[in-house]
Amino acid sequence: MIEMKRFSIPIRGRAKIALLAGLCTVALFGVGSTTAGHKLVAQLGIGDSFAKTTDAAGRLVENGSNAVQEFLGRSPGERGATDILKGKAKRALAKDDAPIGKPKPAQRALGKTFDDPLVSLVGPLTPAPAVEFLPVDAAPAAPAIPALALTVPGGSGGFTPVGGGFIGGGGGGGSGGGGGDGIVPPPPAPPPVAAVPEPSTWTLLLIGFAAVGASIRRSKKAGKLSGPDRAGNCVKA
Amino acid sequence: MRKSLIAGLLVLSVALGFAVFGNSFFAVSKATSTTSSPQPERVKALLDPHRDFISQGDAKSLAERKLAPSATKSLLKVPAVMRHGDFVWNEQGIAKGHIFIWVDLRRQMISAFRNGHEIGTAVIIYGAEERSSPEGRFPILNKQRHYHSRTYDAPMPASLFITNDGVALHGSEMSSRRASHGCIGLPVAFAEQLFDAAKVGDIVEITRSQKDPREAPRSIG
Repeated sequence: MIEMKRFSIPIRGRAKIALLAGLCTVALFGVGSTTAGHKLVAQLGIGDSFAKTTDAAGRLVENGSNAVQEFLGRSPGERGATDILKGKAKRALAKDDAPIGKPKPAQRALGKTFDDPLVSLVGPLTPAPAVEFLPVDAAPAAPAIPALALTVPGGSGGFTPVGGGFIGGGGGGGSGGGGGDGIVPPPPAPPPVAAVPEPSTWTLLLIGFAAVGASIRRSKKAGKLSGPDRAGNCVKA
Repeated sequence: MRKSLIAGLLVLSVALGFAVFGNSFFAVSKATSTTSSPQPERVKALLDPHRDFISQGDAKSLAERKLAPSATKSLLKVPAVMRHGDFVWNEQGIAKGHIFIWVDLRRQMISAFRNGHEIGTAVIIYGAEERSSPEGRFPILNKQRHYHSRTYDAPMPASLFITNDGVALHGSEMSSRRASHGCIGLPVAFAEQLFDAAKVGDIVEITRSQKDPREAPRSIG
């Protein structure tokens, strides 16, 4: 009878136990919601406890963890209408800004780069073909020198080198020439002259005008002082 | 009867203590286990109140949508929406090493990761439509702290060049209406932090993340 009394729980006791159980449940929920609780879960490697369903890409926003939600929410969003930054837009090439691997041009003058002016302006120097015949009057002792054909743009004949071993008959178009068949590209057109003078030109022009004006003014002033006045008397400066 | 009541009150007080001081309790417990942990940097990151650890599933999902690298372990806590000029930099507790820079053109965000931990983030400006920024993986080719562009006659402090034709990550004036000629513009202070942390050869990945169709359209400015 006594033992039965020991294990029997009165109604007030049951209510207290239920109250305690409820409070403990609430407290444990509080622990789970704290950051440390999350960290503990992550540290234990429980896995996808943050993202419940992350199989499809679109589910992430709704089901991701707080960290992922914050990560997605920090963005200001997609860009709207913009104005491009001011700059020298006409210069499309940004080669000057390339810090490495930039090949240095051979020459640079007035903002233009010339890779190899000698090759582009003057035709290639090619050895002339061998002399095929010699005229009768030719001196036999004259050595046969391989001629170099110096081509001229637009020209068709060759120049006979001085001391050549033959007498050309007709402007070098014969055997000694050989340069007439070379196709020479026309020289590049000279750069167009700017329609508006450079600032330095303007400055020089203005200085010149000012100097001329000053000299005229000075000469007039000197003439007035040194010339006769209205009364005809000569006045010295 | 009294004994059971006292026991119940003890349990209740312990539970409430857990709820109120749970954060510091776990931090202390982790601190005590630091000496025997094989991953001290991870423990340090756990102790950092400025970052959140993410699960492998979250990291995988972020990588699938090109929102972050696949090996992401933790993200900085940024509870508010960032504006142009805002940035966060916190490398406390993260070991030194190479960094991985992730640029998301769609979200206008940049994040710097070291060993999988995000150490910095900022809002960026990027190339206009007619002069779009290149996308892909680029190693940092060159670093120039004080650079002035001759092409655009503009200062570009803390430049990290990633292409041979002059595309760089550099400090810039920030505005939501600005667009660049292809470079990635950063807040100057953030660019200097990034310049100090990055080394030649570190990887920069420029990408456009996938948009969630259910994501609410949100654009500031």
